[in-house]
Amino acid sequence: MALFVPGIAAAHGKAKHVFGTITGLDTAEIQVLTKDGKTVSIGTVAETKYKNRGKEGGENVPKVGDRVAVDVTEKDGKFTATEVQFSSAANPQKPMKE
Amino acid sequence: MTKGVWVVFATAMLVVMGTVVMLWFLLQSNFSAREEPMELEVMIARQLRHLAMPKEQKQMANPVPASDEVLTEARVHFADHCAICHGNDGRGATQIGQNFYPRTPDLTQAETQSFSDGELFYMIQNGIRFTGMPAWGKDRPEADPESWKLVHFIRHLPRITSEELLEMERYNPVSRMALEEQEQIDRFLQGDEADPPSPAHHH
Repeated sequence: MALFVPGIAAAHGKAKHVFGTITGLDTAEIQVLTKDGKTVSIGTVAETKYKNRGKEGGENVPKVGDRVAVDVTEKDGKFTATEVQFSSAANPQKPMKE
Repeated sequence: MTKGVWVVFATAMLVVMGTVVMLWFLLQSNFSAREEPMELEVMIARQLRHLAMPKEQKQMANPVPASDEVLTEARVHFADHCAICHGNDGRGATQIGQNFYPRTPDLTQAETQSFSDGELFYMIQNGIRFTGMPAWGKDRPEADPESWKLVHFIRHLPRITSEELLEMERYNPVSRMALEEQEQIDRFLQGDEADPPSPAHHH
């Protein structure tokens, strides 16, 4: 089902990507607004890796407004992030069109 | 019957019973690699591996002196050849590593670090039968310094830094498909309005 939702694409093996902009986050979850206007909640765990792809040596923690490509695994309809690649909103870049 | 005959008979019975139990166990598991190995199985396998390793090999000292240069070489080598199963950090938390039977061990833990240098070298050179560990050795031990360098790197794994791990990612094998996917992700993260990678299931 999720395979056919815009903003979510299959990656390697059982993993999928969620693409979009962060609208909210705390220590246990990230909310991502995908290109089609849906908000996807993704759980984060201690093993979740973070990569700032927008700036060398930049902050390694994403913020609200950052663009993200999140590798997720899905179990019982819930997403868990294995890797969060993000581009800091502080970097010069085009905002995502709604 | 004489005592000798009784001993032979009892030994034969034990062998037969052991074989039956082993066959029963294998058939029960359907030869699946999904299960965690039983503690008894792990213990027996480790003992057999220990017994099978030549004593002189266990006692071999690492002929390659440790240095920053050696560690750098071994780090690149490990990232290219070993990390797909063991992970760059050696903890075995990879998709392949966690689906082997038995699971790929955490090389930073005492279970591995307590081996002698000679034992680690022997396992790299000869592999470990009935596991996913292949034999990498081709030449005489003294003519294969690359594996000895890896032994130094395995000793270093418990203290590996985040900078080293980041550098290793550059040397991990990546398929052309994965490279193209990462390029698309990078374009998306940089504000490109192109659609994200299209859904396509692949392994």
